[in-house]
Amino acid sequence: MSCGGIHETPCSEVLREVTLLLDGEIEERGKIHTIEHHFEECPPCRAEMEHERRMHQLLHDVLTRSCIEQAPQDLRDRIAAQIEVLSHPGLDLITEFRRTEISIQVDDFGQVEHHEITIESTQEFRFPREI
Amino acid sequence: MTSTDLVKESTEERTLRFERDALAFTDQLYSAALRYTKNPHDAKDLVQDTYLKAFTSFHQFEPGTNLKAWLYRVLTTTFINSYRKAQRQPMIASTEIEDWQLAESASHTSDQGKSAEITALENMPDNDVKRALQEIAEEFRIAVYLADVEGFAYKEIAEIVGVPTGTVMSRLHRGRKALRLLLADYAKERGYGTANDTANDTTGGSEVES
Repeated sequence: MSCGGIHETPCSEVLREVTLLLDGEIEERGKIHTIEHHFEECPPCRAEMEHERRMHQLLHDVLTRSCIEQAPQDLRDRIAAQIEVLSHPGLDLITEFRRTEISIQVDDFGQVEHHEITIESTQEFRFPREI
Repeated sequence: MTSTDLVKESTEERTLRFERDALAFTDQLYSAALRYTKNPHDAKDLVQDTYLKAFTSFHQFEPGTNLKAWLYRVLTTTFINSYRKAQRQPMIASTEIEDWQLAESASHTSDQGKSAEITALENMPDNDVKRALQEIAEEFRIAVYLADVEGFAYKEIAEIVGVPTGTVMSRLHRGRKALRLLLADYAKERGYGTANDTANDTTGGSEVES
């Protein structure tokens, strides 16, 4: 749609370029100049461009505000552990550990004593990989 | 660091360089992964996978070039290749390349329409923004995210996603348009696009997380 005026470059052509202009994707200086010249002589197009510029900026602000989050600590830990393993190809990483010791003793009187010790750990142990 | 130094770089030095340079993007990659996968569990896996791949091919990264774009490329291709769920969006029709040019040979919108659109966006609660982003097609969502949150140029997005620049323009155009329409709809539903409400609307509080 045109503003009704007659310009060197038709409104429709200029409006089509607005997004590219706002995205900083027009490299040709001449082209930028032509568009800016059009805005100077065509208030409706200029208003349209100003609105688009505002919306463009707002959309960016709103999206950034809503989307930027902090990575959880457990993710950071997982990544760090992964790098640790990868950068030491000779080492393995154990994240869980469980050991049960059972001892049965029979004393002189025939009494049976039974011990069971379980050690559990989620600590990380490194040891040379067995080949 | 010159390229001769790099040849001599030990594994240990490279690891340190990776930890210093690449891990600085963890928050950003996680934020993007949340928008890509739509849930924290998959997002964490995706970021971990991304760093695994990035670390093992870090020697291929050319220092001095754009590390952020390189990491986003790893993230995005990893997502496209393995995290995309079965209920994917149908492939986009081949018309997509032309129609960004045709569409929006924009008319001059009324001033009233313009200010309503701006007010709506200014007052939009974060959860509604996230919801809108989740509703648009994956290809569009990725393009909009990369351009409007991360500020990548068309050419960079084309490399990150692995499509021609024309396709990026089309997706970006359609994605932004869809997003604006959705946000305008939400605004209408909730009634905060219309008048002089203040910011920090709370009605959207508990709706959708991530």
